[in-house]
Amino acid sequence: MAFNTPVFLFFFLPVSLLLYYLPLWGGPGSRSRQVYLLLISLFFYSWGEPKLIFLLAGSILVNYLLLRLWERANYGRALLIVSVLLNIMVLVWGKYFAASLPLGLSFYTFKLLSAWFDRKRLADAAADAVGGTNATAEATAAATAHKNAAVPFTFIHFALYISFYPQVISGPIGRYEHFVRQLPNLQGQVTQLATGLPRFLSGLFIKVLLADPVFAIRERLLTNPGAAEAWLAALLYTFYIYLDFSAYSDMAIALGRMLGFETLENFRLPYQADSVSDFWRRWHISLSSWFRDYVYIPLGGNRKGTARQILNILIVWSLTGIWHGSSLNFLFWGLYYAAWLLLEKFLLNRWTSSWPQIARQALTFLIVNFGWVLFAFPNFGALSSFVGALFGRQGAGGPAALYQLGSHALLLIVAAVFVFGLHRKLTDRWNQSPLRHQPLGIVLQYTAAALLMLLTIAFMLDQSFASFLYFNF
Amino acid sequence: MKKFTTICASLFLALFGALGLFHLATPDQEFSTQERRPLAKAPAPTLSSWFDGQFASQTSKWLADQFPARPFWLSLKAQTQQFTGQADNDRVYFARDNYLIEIHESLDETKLRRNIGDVVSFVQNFWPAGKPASLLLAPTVAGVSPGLLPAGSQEAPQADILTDLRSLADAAGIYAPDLLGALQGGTLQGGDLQGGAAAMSDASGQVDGNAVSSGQQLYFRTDHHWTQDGARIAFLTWLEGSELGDAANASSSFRREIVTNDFRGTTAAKANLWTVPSDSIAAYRNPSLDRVKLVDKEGTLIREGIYDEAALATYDPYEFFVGENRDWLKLETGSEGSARGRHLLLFKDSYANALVPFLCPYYETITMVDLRYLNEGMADLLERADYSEVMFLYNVVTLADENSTFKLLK
Repeated sequence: MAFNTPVFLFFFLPVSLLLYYLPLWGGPGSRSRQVYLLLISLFFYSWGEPKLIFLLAGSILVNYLLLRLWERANYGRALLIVSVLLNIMVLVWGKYFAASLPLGLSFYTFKLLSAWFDRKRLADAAADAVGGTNATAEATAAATAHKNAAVPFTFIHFALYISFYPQVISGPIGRYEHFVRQLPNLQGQVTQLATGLPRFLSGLFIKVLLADPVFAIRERLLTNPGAAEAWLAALLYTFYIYLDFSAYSDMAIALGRMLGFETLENFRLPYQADSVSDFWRRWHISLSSWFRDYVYIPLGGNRKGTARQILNILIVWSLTGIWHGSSLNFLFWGLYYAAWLLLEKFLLNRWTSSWPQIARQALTFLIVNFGWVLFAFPNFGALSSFVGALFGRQGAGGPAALYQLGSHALLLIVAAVFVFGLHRKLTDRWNQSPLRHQPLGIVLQYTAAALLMLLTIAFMLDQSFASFLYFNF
Repeated sequence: MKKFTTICASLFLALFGALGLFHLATPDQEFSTQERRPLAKAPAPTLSSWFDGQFASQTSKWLADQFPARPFWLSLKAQTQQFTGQADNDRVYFARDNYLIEIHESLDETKLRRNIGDVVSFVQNFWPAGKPASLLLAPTVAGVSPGLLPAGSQEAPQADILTDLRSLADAAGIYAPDLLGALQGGTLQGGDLQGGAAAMSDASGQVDGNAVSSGQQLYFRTDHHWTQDGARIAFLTWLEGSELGDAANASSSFRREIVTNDFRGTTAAKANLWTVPSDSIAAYRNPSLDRVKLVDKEGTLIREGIYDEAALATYDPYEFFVGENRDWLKLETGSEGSARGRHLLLFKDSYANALVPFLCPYYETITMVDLRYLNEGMADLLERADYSEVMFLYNVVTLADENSTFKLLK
């Protein structure tokens, strides 16, 4: 089920939330509330391709049993390695060998692995607390049990973490420890609705009224593009991928909030980044920080000398690339970033540090923009012909680009405002204004939302529910 | 204030739920006249349809198709797009003078040449030498009046490819008049064809058979077809150079009459704009057309009278001209005199329907074949009658996307 469909908006969402807010589930963190969330999450996931629920449920069950076994075996290294490899094998099969990618597999596998690594870290921390490796097995176990009291480990917790419906299909890739720590205090207060709904709606509006129309323009520019059309198409893809994915993340985070969960942010105005490494602290944060915490740092990060750091960067960015898909362009896209990061670290930064920030931002944007060209064309023939078009191999073009720019001027201006975060000043001022918290201000806000909702329904119904790009990864 | 915010948010969510309930409560519709297609119905849940995902996908289609006030939403989107300055909606241009014009940014010239090649091969291999063959390639409104298109639009030009295709036909001895030139008002020649404005505005509505007035609407604003005025110019242009030439028949005197003022055609359905007014359909009538018999392949009489008055009340009033597209349709015109013994075989698309009434006085029978729906070999088809002439009538946009001309050679 996707968030931008009538079945979700007008049936699943109101019904599931109404039931959630009714006083049916007992006190904070009650098991029945968690079971309810688990059940609606499984229903949400199974809508559309119900067979895939077996893979999801099987992954949850097998991992849960292995985790329990591992706990009994006192967190030995061998079982950890076997289990992680097993999950990676399923992921590799699903991404590169299955007829079609099982929905959400890339995202929930990373959550499964997060559970393993987080529990490992908790166990290590507990062991350290009682005197490191010299401690007796009994003492370690006791300390771990103590630590675990804060991060309880039950089947419901684990299953809910993996299948939590706002995140299961396309992230953000929530962290096990961060998620599970919230469960004991989980509540269903109707006040949560007001903290989540505005952000959910803004994500929905951005997806339907900006992202999808921008993508449609790009598609039309791709028929026989001259250089002007190709550059505009590349720029629009850069707009689109951010609007689409950040809108999805907004909706996911907002839905979490309506259910009483805090989710870590996935985007921080990435196109305002002033270096490539800055960009990756702002783009798809839940993925890049996953690789940082679970791959880069365990491999030694930058602590084991320059050669090792270069190798680590290459490993992490190759993995980031192929995480997105099996075709080679994703690997190249990952390595493209590895190259820029290394160049930046050892060369470019010394040079650009004296530049004005706007110049560094512009350079970063150009680099990112070209990165998306590599990313956008899984087919090599299409990629090379598009790159050719960018450099004028099919003529300078111009009229078609001008026509689209003229026809969509308003849309593109509004999209640019959101893409570059220029609306933030306005929203910040609104949030600080006293009116914002008065009934009039609140009514104004919801009236505006209602009007935009009318347009959203109109645009949604006519485009037969464009999927989200990251459902493919 | 927290309470007030909560109430507002709850109301908003309640509206979502209410919309869902309202959706369930409203009865389903079978067919959308605005979009000209059947609408999805509610799927029946079965265990197997649930498991293979059919139920979910059909439910999504059903919810979208049967969404309360769906036409309102579609129009709201289109009006918003037009209001914000969009020049088209990816399907049709919001063109000048309230014209809605289909977008065709490229014409498949390879396919066009292949299809005309099939026509040429048919004439050379199946058609008896010496019997007349003609090709009428109609431009669309975008070709005739590019000035209507929004500034800077990338619509494919039609003039060069039409000239090319006509010369292909010409080289094979097929008569292919220049309809684009004629419709643009450039090449109509001969006193009869010019200066006909006076004749058109005759108070009685009576029209001289061979007169054309200037300033007529040659294409519908809300449909992809030409009007009968446009079709008539094409006919007169063809007539001028055909063997029939001056055989202007007494019965070709027509009365031009508006048959409906409420025509919203295919491009209106793709645009969904409220602000574009409906078209009028003008029809050329005379008594002998009311006696034309329409007969199907089995020899059954479908209707008497070439115009289908009943179609005016349907969602596609263009079918007023002859009727719906059929694989095979014979018109028994009842025409006398020099028409006796003349049998026309007409391979066509729907552009021919508005033109064929003008042909009726000249032929005893006209057999209209739509290759898209035809399931019969050419040899069999040619044996059905002793055809004296063959004509191909297509608009260039349809022909550029047509994959059925191979049937001419089967």
